Amino acid sequence: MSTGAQPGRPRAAVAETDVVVTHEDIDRAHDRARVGAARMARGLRARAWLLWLLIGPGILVMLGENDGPSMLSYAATGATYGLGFFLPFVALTFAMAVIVQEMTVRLGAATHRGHAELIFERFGPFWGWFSMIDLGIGNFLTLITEFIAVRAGLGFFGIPPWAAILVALAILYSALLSHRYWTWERVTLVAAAFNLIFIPVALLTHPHWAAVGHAFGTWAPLPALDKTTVLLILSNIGATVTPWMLFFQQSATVDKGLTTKDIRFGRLDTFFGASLAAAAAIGVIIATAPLAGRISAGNFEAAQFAQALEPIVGHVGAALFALGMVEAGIVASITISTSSAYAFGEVARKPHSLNLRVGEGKPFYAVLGLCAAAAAGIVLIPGLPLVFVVLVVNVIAVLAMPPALVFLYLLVNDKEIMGDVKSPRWANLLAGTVVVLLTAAGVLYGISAVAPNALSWLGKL
Amino acid sequence: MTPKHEYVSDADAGFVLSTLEPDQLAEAKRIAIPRRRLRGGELVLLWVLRIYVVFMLVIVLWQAWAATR
Repeated sequence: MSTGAQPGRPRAAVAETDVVVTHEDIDRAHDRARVGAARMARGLRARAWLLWLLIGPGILVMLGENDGPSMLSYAATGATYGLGFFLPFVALTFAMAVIVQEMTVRLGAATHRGHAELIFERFGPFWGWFSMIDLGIGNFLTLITEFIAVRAGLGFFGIPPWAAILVALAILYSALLSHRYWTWERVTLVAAAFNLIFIPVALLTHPHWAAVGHAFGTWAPLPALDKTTVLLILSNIGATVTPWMLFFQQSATVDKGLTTKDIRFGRLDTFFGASLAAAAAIGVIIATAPLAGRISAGNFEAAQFAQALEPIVGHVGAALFALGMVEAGIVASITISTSSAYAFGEVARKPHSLNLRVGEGKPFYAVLGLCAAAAAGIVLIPGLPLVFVVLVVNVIAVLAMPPALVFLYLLVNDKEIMGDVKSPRWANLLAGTVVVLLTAAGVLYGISAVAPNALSWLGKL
Repeated sequence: MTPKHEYVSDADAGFVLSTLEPDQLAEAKRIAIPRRRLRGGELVLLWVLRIYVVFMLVIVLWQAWAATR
């Protein structure tokens, strides 16, 4: 199956007399050959097989973003406000995530280039480095919080911090052992499926379904507009829409080898991933809602939430909650460190693929492994103010999103690189709305910090 | 077409070239996509957002520092 690139866009053409083929290409070609064969077949079973072959980056990015700090944000939200405004609000943030991430699928499928690579090449190193600094700081801080979640979650079972960190690193490194994108993706997908463990925990609390339905139907009860509410609004947005997701899904789309013919399936993958992740996130809010008014949720760690839930959901339910936190931290540490490695390889023009053997991709695997090891090591240093990191990480993600989205917007509207799959007007309208909402949320946070009294005035409007 | 490859058989190379789009080859990514000049409005927007990020980051760090004390 040989397919041409989109007409009308500059081709990173390889002269046919000077073609270099690598093992990375062979592995990707095998994946694509299976997709090609599945596409030729007819019938429902064949379509289901094709979907199975093409899903991956969307589900991984969405469940990966249901990470340690995100789940702690949802738990703090449920334990602070119970069932109400934040249930539909979290569903809305996942809708925003679908709008944003769909653009990265199109961009990756049309250009076969990663996000960092495109920003550097299309807009130059000056803006490229700004994006990389945002990504690097955000990714490293988030990685630290993932290991905090793993440490706290396994701490519930009495596992000491050093052993918890070693378990997380061992799983992360073993996922890479196959040196095949396909195997890595499937292993990580299986691990990510455990994110749904929060749903049975929510069911064990015997939720007040009428209140859940009322919250979705009316967005009520509304919380008072104060500093806590604003912080949780920002934390919940940062729990679903962050810069690393843009870089990861586009690079994974490229590494998987998706083409413009696969965009429809990429959209399904993204939507399906967002639906699963939203169900798990809402599950956490419902699970912790019975704690509202009983605890101060401010600086709670995962283990403390699990312990607080034990009288309500029993030991099994509390253990499931703690295991969910462990899974959230481990899967996110895999996807976020991979996103850093992809971005480094793209910018440094080094080979960057999970299809590379270690010898072929030393810088790629070194960045991936060292980022994770450094973040894990920091978590083990006694006396560090790690609560500080947990507090700021989602907020920083929200603040860094508007500039990242502007680059994404410019790239998906670039006819020269996107050809026929450039963004339609409706997609631009939605993307513009997301930028405005994220910027407004950031400004609201600034107001709550600098002039908290102004919030009560705004609340009366 | 004469594929150059050090450790790849001719059969594998032929399979790859008939299966992947030309831009999908790892080697193709060495060739840079042409630079695009940012327009005035785009530059202003990017600078405004950059200043916004730096300003807000200072507020966040100050808030978090105050919260942990």
